Amino acid sequence: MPLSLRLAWRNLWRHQRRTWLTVAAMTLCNTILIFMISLQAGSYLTMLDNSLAVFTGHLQLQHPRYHDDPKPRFSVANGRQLAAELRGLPGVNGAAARGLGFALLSSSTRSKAMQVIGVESAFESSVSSIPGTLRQGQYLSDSTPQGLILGRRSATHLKAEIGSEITLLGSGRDGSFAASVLTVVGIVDSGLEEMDRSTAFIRLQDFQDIFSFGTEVSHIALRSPSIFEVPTTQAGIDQRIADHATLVSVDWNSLMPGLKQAILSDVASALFIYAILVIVVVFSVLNNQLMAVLERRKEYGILLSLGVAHRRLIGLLFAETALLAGLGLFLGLVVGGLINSYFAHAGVYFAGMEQMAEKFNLPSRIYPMMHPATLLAGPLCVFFGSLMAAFYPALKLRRLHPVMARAGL
Amino acid sequence: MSAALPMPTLIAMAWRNLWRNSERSWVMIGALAIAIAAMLFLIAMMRGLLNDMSQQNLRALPGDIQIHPHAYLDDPAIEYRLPWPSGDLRHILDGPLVARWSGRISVGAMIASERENRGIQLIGYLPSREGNSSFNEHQLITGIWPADHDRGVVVGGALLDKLDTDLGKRIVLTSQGADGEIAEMGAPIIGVFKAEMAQTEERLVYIPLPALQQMLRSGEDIQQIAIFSATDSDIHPLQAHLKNALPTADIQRWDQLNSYLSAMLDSMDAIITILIVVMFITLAFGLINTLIMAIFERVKEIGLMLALGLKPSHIALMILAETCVLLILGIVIGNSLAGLAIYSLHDGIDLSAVAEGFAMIGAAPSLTPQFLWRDVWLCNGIVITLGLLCSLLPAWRAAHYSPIEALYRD
Repeated sequence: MPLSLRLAWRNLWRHQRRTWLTVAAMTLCNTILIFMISLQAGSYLTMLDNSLAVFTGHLQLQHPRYHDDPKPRFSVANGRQLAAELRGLPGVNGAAARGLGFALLSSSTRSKAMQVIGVESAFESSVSSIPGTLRQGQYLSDSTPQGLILGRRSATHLKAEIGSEITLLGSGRDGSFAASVLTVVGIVDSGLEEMDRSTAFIRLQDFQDIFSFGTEVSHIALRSPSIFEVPTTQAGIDQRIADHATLVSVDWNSLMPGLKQAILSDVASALFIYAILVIVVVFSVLNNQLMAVLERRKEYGILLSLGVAHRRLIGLLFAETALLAGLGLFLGLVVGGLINSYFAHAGVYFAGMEQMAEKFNLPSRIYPMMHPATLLAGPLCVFFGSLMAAFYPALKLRRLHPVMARAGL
Repeated sequence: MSAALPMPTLIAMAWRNLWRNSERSWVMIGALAIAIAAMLFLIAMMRGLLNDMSQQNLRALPGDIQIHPHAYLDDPAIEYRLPWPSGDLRHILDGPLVARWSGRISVGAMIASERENRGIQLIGYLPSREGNSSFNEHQLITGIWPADHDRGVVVGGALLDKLDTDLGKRIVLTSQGADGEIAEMGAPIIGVFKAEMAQTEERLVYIPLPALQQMLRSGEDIQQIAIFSATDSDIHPLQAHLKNALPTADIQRWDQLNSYLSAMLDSMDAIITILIVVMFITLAFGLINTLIMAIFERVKEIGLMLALGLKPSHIALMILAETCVLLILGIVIGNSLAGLAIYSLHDGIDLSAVAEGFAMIGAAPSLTPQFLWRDVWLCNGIVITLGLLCSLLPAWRAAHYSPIEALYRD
């Protein structure tokens, strides 16, 4: 160990209690930062994945005007054929065409205005989790012509059961009258209140007949292998559709801008708390090092008189601060990492927060993310903040005059 | 034994002691002030957000207390209705506890223009009973709000665009009638409103109650009685009165109507307390350190004081007084900073860049911090209490030095 480092290490332990108190403050702060940041990162990813998995998908192919003005006439031509082609592309885990319309659905006793979605029954489950939440009956298939899938809440509202006949009244793509009689074949429970209340699914071919869509569809939903690979997938698709003037790909962030914004606003308020925590700890370190410099004035005076340069002493001070901060960093990583790895397996359960969780498509148990970035981000801020805190004591040290300092002035 | 040392002398000594190492004291006071200011500011912002969420939630259908037919909240269908209030209920509603009340109907319906159709929430209300403009804080862009016996609808700007129609044009409303049959009505658009959240503009359509009752063939029946309390004070007693008069209905306070919001409101104080305590514990290490060092460098002096006959309790009191002065200075500066920050934002912060994110939690994209004295007491109270607790150990140790050992320590 070089001499200066050894001197710094010994200096650190001249006031054991003081050093441990400051290290404890850093360790506590680091532990909190590690746990909170990992928990947030974990919940954001879960929220994104779950929200997009329900219905939206990672990407959608649409008519260029559909996104801002979702009218039936801004549709995608030959949607089923296109979806089939896209399924063969690399980076596409799922693709399914859909038709979207509004209609009044009536059972024998009740009526309700609902969104009616025509889905490719064989492929819908590759882009949406809704088919997997079937509670009763069966999902749409070739053997269910004129079949209808209702949400649990809308089925209750319409007083409909499997086998009930439902009348559909609405208007078609060309403004014509759209009417049909459908049979309830299944009931799903997506867990999302709004979806369960106001959305019904039919087969895409039935949808195209009823709403006069011909071979048109409203959009094609696509899934990438993961949310991080969406840009790659999108680039591949854009290349494929380059010669279609009436097609654009829209990513999840444009489809559900609220998701990223909700995360960003949450990050902003959390960053504020973290920044204050770090500042408070940095003040502790500042006080610690300031006291160290002030109480060693006489000793510094002697060293300066003996010809030791100011910058050597300042280097010593920074080495001491780095050791102090490094100790806090190390202990923080150990304690925070242990707590984190426990909860990464067990999950964190927020009692009474189910309502909040549902709103953001979160399960009531959240798993913190174990990633070098989530572990190191906070503690490194504390570490470098502590080094910055040594600048003020260093400035004091720099101004010391050998003779005055020796007299304790 | 020495004579009792007067308190002012102790405080004077504590004050002077604090400034013997003024830099160290200021660093500590600075940390305290920043932490307190940040906490108070953050709490005010959180309160502001929650307040806004409650208001947005109620803006469509306001009311301090709302009465719904049993089962309506789970299954908002026209078959669940209430008769127009009479008897005991009417007596309470017209009594001194209630400022005003009104009946409403809110049903799902389909709205169709000549080009498009959409699913909407159709709200039938009595303009004259809703305190006129205060019913609806949505701003009217064009047209008029209807009077009680008009037959037109007021729609949101976003819906007007989606329907590809215009003010003065006719739309067709379709829903289910009270008799179970399809109910239809044509009506002109007489007003267009603007709301802070796009989803409000797209979902809500207003129509005078009598016209809606006629369309739905529901006679004089309503689905919701909205009650505005005559006072700002506790509305629990009024709720209890109403429950006695109408035991079969759902009678809820505004904070109970949205389970998400009421969960947030319930946990708010707990969240705030946890935040402050965590922040303080991080701060406490520095505080204890400062005190320990202050005592450490004065061991000889304390030994001398003890040798001269000062009671140990005086030494302890002196240290506590020193902590107190430190805490009070931090609190005063911290509170002033927070006050300044909150005051400078009293017009609200524009957050339209993340409007959709705020819409997800049901808040408007403008945030105004909300200042509550309760939070100030809570925050400062926690800091003072925990701060003095932290200083107990150093103070006790200082008081129990042996004068001889302390005097000869180097």
